[in-house]
Amino acid sequence: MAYKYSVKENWGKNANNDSFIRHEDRAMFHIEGFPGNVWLTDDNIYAERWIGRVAGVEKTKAQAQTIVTDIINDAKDAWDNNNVSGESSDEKITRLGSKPTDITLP
Amino acid sequence: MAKYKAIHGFTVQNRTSDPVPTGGSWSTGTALNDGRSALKGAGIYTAAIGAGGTKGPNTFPVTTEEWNGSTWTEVADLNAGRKFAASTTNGTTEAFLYFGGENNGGSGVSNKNESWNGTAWTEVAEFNTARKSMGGAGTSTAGLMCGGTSDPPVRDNTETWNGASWTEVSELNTARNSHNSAGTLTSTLACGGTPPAGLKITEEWNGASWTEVGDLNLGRIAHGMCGANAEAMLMFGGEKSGVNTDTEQFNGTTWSKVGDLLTACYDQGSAGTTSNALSFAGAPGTKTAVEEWAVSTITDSIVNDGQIFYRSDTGDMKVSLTDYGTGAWATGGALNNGRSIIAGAGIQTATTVAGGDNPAAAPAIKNFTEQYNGTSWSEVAEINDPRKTWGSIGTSTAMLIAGGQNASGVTDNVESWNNTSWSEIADLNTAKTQNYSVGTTTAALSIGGDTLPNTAVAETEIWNGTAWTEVNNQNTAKFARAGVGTVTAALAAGGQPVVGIVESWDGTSWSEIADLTVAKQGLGSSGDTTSAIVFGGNNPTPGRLATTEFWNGTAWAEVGDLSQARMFSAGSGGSSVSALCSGGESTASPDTQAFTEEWTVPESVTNLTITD
Repeated sequence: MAYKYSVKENWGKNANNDSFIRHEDRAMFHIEGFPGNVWLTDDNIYAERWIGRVAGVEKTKAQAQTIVTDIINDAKDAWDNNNVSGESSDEKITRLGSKPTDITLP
Repeated sequence: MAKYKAIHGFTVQNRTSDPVPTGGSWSTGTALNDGRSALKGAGIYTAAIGAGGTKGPNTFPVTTEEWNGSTWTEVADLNAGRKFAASTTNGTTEAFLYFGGENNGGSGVSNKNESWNGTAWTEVAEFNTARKSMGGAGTSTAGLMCGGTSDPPVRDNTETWNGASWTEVSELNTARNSHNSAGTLTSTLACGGTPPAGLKITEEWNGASWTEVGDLNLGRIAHGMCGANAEAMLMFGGEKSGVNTDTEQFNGTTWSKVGDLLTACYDQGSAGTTSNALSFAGAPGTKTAVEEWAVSTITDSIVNDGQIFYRSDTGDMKVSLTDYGTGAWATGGALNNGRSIIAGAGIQTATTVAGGDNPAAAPAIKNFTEQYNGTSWSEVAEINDPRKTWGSIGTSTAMLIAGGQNASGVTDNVESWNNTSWSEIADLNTAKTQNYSVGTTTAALSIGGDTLPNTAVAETEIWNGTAWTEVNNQNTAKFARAGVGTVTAALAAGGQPVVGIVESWDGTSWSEIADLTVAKQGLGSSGDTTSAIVFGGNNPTPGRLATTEFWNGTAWAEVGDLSQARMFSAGSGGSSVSALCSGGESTASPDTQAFTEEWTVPESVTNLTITD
């Protein structure tokens, strides 16, 4: 399966009530969000139109993977460095959630 | 009435035609030969013409097709392919103008004007201001165009055609493009368009000037439109927060909703009147599909959902039923404060969320309350005891939050929201967090929970409007479950430690029913015990989930994914066909989300034949 990768900040729904990802987009192509505002889509005309509509910036898979990995690595560092004296491992997970794990883009 | 029918039954009616939706109904017609969108048309129900449009970037067909009431036939081509042109909407298959639009290859906008004489296209006098996405009206000897865009600016210009030349006349009150219009040289209606996208404003042209009349119920762009004059108009489809099927009819004063298109569509061609009309081709994609509109008459019977009837002319037993399409998530308005483990209650267009957790922004545990109006979130009065809390009790204007984790640990504190402020009410019997609560402000159920650290409990507590009472435990001690239902009928799904187990509450005790397809915890939910969805969540492998599972009362099945995997989002909506997923924790924990997603399953009422 061929995918396209693009980067664009998700605006949610704007003042004109227009969704960043519309219901009909979901019917026309697969879309999946990753850290760093990276969006994976099918490689078809509808996804191409969506990238154009939201003014997304297309990336190669390697470029997109680098963006995601950098975000995860920063999150891992933040998690490692966020400690409370005397806190057990379970307590840290309760407070912060599990340590971020690597993501490999499809 | 439903109760009366359930008790006494009803007579199976004998019909020779199907009932129709109030106002009229669309049915499938014969497809065009050449699929495309952004084309223009004219004519009547049994004799129409469609020309031009687009088949994709820089592919603007010159094809013209004629409809004779039974088939579409390709006839002579336009001289120049353009998309987003306009036409004399009240033209015929013998006399029709196609003017303006975006030039083939995207090389600017056009002021070309082509005239169809029933056999061939001829270029005639150009108009004054080149543009695209404008409205048209009239005939090949008495025409009109209004608005549009010259890429930029957006236009308010109106020009009229006397059969030989164009003259600039009075401007629209609201400049717009991607609207639509129809009518005659002396009686035209223009509505919808942008900016901003989805204008509701309707203007009526009386031959000399434009006057604002009744707004559309649903503002939109790129819709179909047809009608004899400004006193009787039909408009359908278009885009507003997604492609829609909505059809509205104008009676000279106001717009009223009538029967929906069978399939959502925009940038389609249109022809006909309020009595009989055609919607042909269009987007998304490059459709060839045609739908035919027929108005309901005084002798028509109107669709009555659930009614069984006998078609004596065909020998079929039929039933009027609501059909559900394929559900999908679209992005909704972003929260002002991204957070996870939040409580939410309400419907997709009116939800309140409270509390939450965001370790990246101290203090991590939040007291925020936000309200959603279907477009954006507003901060309202904060909760008294900041906490991360979980569940969905009540509505946007009257909700409870029960328990949770505050800065000191687990809490038994319960607060009540009256749409103005939060007040503390009677405590839970046991302090706990990530207990999922469902119900109303006078009858609620608290399911399981965590007494910390990671100590799942099986407790169930019932709220009667005054106090909480411990009742029978779940079979499995879990926290971070999803829940739907009421104090007399509820479901609890998944949970931590991670399982796919689902339990059903009958008002007295819990019993296990069919498992989720994927074990998970921290999932959102919406619906009831007979029809529900759960979404997102977490499983140690692969981690955060985007999946949505649908419960039909018997089994779970995967349906459309969220666009962003997440856990601990607030679930609200109250049904399996319309729900809201707010916030949560995304892939890179503790990456809390401000984003929301809106789940919608399209529905329509149709008459189905009962078969074996």
